[in-house]
Amino acid sequence: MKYQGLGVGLGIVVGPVRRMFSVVPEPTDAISTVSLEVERGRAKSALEAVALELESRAEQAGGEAHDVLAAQAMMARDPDVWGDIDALLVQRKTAEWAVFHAFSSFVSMLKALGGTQSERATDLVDVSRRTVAAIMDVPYGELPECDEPYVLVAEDLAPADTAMLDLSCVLALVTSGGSPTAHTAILARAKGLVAVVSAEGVLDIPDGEIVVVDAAEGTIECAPDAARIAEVRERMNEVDDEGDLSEGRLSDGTAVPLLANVGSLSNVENAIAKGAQGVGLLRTEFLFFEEHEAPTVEAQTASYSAILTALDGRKAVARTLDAGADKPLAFLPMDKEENPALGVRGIRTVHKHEQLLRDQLTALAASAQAVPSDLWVMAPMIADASEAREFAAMARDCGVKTVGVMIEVPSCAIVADQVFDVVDFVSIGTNDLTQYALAADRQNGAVATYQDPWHPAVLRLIKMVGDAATASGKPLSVCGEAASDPLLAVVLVGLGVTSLSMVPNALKDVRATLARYSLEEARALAAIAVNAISAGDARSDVRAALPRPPR
Amino acid sequence: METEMELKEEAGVISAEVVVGSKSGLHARPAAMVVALAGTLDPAVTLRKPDGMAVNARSIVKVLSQNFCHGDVVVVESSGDGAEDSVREMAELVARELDDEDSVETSD
Repeated sequence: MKYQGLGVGLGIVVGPVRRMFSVVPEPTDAISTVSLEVERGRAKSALEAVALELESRAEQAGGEAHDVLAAQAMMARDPDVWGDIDALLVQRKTAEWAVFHAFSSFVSMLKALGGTQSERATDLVDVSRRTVAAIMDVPYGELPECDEPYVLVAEDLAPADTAMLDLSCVLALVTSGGSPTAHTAILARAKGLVAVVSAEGVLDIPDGEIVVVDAAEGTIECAPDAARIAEVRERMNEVDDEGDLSEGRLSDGTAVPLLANVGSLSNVENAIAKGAQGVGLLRTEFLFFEEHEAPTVEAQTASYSAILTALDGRKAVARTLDAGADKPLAFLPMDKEENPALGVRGIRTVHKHEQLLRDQLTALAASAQAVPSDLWVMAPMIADASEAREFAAMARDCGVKTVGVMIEVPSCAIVADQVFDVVDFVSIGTNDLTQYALAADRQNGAVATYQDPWHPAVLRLIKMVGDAATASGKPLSVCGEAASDPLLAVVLVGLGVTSLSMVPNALKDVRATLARYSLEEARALAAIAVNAISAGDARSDVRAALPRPPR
Repeated sequence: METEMELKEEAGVISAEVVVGSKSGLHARPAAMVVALAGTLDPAVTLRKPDGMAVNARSIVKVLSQNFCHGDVVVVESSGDGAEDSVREMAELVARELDDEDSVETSD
């Protein structure tokens, strides 16, 4: 028996299945056979137990997962929900049915609102199921005990689940739902875990069954024979060490430098250990977000110098401050905006606060002077060549040697030839480019399926930039999520991208995949991708056309 | 909170109108903060849109169901001894930017 889904990365593992159930039997509308007080007690104590459990998980989780879990605990303690439950109990309904019914009416109400509220509806469903499971005394949403490493199989994983996941015990993540661009896949990529998502039917595999999970093929094979298990074990051992830390190259020797996205000094060491040839995206916001006033030129110079020193002469591409209505700063008063993704952000923020940008550019230039280094500097959210020219002039005026811009706005991709005339290099931010090309807010879960960089419209925009890069002979990098998807990385190179920057854990798979194909093959695959009619088709058409498997 | 909050009184009900300050609206984290504060206020407060039904601010599900978005006007109401304080505290919280820095680290 073999199940087919969408693989994330290229890894392969063999191990026993442990399922995490997030479905509980639906209670039936039966008349209670016990007293009202007993039913009240059952409902109340289950709600309280769920609230306590969620609170203790919130404590342990921290960060964003903490907020989600703490809000869920509040739902379990909600006085108005209790009022509805109690009214049903008074009608002599059972505790499980009253809880289920009271929550479901609120769930439909939140779902109907759409957007963020529909995510809260999912949280509420989870609370309802937990409580019903507690009343009926059936297991729910419990992560399997860690006796030996296992393949975790679930419907889908919520941030709240993954926050609690002991990853040292998880060999692979397999979900029947989810998508290659959603939470489970992003987590798998960031942690370097083998994952297959959207694999229909996998919840039927019984616990303890040995399966082979092959992310490159997107398959889950049941009952592998001894020879297959031995073969996969051997490949797992190979994969275990970082192994080959060589420079990124295609099979014909074409160099494709592989760089890392980092947001602080501490990330740099990890990136180098994983074989990054430099930093392709240095997010500089870490210097600004915690501050109540703008950091001085001296303080910034010291921070940048420390990072350049750690890089020891390797290339570093710093992005100037990317703040705005979407990511506000304590010391910059920002007008509230109805639509921050389309508002004052990135370079647009500093139009009004030019000194802030000048100080940063001065500090960057000073650090490049102070430390032997290869520092490139780029600005985010540039809309056209005129804005690019303005930034380039200011950066050079402040002493920056190599100046570029990020292309995230479709307008800038369309006039990429003009942009290359005024800058030394370009880096494409595929996440924003995708959200703008498809008019789908990245923060809005209801339109998450549009956020897929395999979309042929996004690939065609990248091709316009790629063609302009080739004509100008100047470097073109990609530093979005797209670069960490090994097959998409091949397509990007085929579109004219000359270097890739990604989360450090993705370097290994991308390096291995690039080495399997020639530039000519990459171009042929890119041509197939841009002619597909949807992101899903682009993915499957390219996979079907591969001259050899990706590993 | 550049301007002093204006409280109204009508038939024993104290009310204040404020604009939601949180950029994500009273949804995830900000909603939880509103409910947490409401749990400590005595007398209790209700929230509503200018043309909407008042809901118990101690009920996270009800607060979420109102879908208060960034820039929306919220009417905070309470009555009884100390209602002014309850309304003022809640109104100030609703008007504030309650979102934390966006900590999600995806690439760009």
